[in-house]
Amino acid sequence: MSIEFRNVSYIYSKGTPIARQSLKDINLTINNGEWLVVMGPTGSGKSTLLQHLNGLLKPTAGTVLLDGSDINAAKSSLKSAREKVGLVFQYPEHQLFGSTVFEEVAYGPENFGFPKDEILGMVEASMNTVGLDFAKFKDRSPHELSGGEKRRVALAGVLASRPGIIALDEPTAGLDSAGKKHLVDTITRLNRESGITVIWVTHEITEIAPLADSLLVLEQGNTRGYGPLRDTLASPLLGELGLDLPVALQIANGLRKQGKQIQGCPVTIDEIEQEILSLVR
Amino acid sequence: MSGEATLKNLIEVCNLEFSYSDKVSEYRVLKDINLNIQKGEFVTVLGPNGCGKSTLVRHLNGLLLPTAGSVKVNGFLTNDEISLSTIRRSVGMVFQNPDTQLFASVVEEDVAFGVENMCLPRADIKIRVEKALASMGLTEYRYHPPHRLSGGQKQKTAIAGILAMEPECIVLDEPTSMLDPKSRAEVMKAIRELNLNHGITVIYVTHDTSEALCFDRLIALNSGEIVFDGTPKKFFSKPEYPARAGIIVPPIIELVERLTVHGVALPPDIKSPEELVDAICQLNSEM
Amino acid sequence: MDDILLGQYVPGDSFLHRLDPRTKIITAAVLVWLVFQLKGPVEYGSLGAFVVFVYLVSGVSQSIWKALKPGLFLVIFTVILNALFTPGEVLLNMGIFKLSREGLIQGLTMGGRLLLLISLSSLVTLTTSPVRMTEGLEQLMKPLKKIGFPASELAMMMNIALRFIPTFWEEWDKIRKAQLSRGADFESWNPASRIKYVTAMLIPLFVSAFRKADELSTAMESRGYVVGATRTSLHVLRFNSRDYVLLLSIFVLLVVFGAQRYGLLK
Repeated sequence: MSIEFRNVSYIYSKGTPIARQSLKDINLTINNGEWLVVMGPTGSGKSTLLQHLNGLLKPTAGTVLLDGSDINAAKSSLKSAREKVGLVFQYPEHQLFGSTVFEEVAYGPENFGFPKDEILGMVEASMNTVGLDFAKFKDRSPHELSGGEKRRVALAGVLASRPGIIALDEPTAGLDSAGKKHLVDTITRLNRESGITVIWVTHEITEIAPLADSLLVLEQGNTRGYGPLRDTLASPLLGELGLDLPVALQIANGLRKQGKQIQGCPVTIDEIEQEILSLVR
Repeated sequence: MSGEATLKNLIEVCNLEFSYSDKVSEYRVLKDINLNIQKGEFVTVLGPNGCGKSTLVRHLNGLLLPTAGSVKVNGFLTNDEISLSTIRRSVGMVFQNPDTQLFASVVEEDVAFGVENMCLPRADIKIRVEKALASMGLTEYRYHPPHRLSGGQKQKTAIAGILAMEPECIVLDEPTSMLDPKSRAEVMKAIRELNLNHGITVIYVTHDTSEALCFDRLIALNSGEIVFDGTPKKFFSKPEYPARAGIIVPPIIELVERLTVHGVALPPDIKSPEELVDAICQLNSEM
Repeated sequence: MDDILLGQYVPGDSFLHRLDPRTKIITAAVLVWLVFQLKGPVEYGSLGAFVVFVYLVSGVSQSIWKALKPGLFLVIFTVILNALFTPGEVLLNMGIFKLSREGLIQGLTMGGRLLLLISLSSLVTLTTSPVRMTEGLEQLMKPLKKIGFPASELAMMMNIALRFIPTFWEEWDKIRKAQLSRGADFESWNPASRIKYVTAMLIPLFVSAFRKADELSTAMESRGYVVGATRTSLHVLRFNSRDYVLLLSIFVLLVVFGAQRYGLLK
């Protein structure tokens, strides 16, 4: 499933004295099965951009196209955008309400009008995807689970409606290293095996740099950099904006500054290891 | 241990157990914790989510009381109600969420809150608030409403509020986990200065391994037990230590290990990309 | 979320900002009483002009619209309802609705009063930080402490409530958007689904409120707060010459008004 932004601008509280522009003329094409990373300092418009993906916010100018058709064209197109684009908010575990995990996860499919017998299978499948054993967890209250498990329940709740695109706002925030790894692995599997398009908003790039395809850098609502991940990372842009760089690239940049020869744009530990080895030998 | 050595201990935790129970069962959150913290130390408490880190540090100023065992601050027991206010003046605490520990409408008033509870004369409150604001670099924001500040500034306001109470020790419970990288660096710098310039004992709780690398002493907690207490260097020297603590080795440590295996002669205590770059340049110039 | 003005203080250094909160509360109370005593367009006009003048000199005039906006619906509603349903000399006949002369006057009077009340009270909240305001209220309620009235605790509660309004508004917005993303249709007419959607909104909101309350009380407790204990304060409320002048002027205004209204001057 593909999504396209054409000259999208958004002004908060338009027509009031406190109006402020938070997206300016954004153009994006996210192809089917692509993994896009969005980075930017606080207040750069990342969350605003995310909320345009399923019509929670309507552009003040420009259009958002889902598989070629405007999602804000009609009520029906909006509803179908909400079904096809799963949005995972920051700290999604704070939005849980169900008295059982099953009820929580089934909420989306029920709202989108799937038949009852199908919902059971959808819930089971999405719980398995996020690594929650169906039999063990379905009747438990989400509120008594651990923080990491709650977040998985929230993710399962979004995945249950079988979206073709999943957009996540700071999905690893507050998770420990094991929790982060689990989440990154889950999304990688979804992307590689089921071909789900991924839009990942983050401050931390090290873990996902080797996995993602492209990178968008926003600052104060403007596109500052957009393109294949490695090309965008190779530019000095992220450093200038005070954003996080992959550890491997931090080392490569440091070595280059000392006059050493480093090939390309290493983002994984393997790559930088090879570079250093060829340097010291 | 000699009498002199025990005197220097600011905090003494002895056979601490903590459990809470509901109708069905009892949960043992902390098991037989023994720990001494000396004045002026910078201690990192590291462990996965839910390992009992927060529960442990909440015992250090009497927010929680032990089910068994004891916690002493400057020789005062936390479960002695009379010494509680003295203990809370010695051990201040900063929490994870910058939005739920500030409640005044102006920065200055929030910073004053703790000192106001100490019933000091107004002139003293004023001086202390001013000093605390200045040392956190917040003087220009003193009349700002806290909810309009950046995450980093909010956490520094919270730290200033504790600093104004002039404690001997500050406990920070994952103070950067909800912040962006820029704010995170800003807060880390402020905390380091607390320890270096003000001589304040710092207990820093985190699940972020790369943060734990920066300081002298690391205590690793897993499933309510202390599984390691020593230097970060020693912690990562054997894979069994991080494994026991449920910690994934940070990329920089992994890289240094791999390079060493390949025969690159690197110094063993590299903790940051910058240090690795320096070490490699050193190698090259020697060759 | 920036639209919400309730208890929103605009920092500044005007005459009004520098007044003691107690002066402002007392003055506002007197003026509110006065609003109900006014008769005729001249009196309303003068007080209205005075309020506008104060807005201008205290540098919060930009917020006047934001302050009035939430109450405007109520004002319009009051004017229309009174104008249409008060019996009297019919000015305009629209079938079942009859616009009467008495109704129009009564509606405009009531609407004018509401406008004055809202703008007066906003004037206090706009120029007084909630902390100073609660301190002022606490001081004014102090005599009641002797009979066991928890003035300090009440003031602290009010303070915290005011501070957390914007936070809860943000939370509400976030939860609503998360539910919409999962296909909730808040415009649905089906009562069963409506109940479901309302629960899905309220439970996370309550959970978050409890979590926030818990975190805040822990933070307060670890900063040595004990309910009911004596505290000192960074700011001590002190009447300055300007407070005395203003309170005296208000007193004179009252006497003159009373004398004129009840014919004592004749």
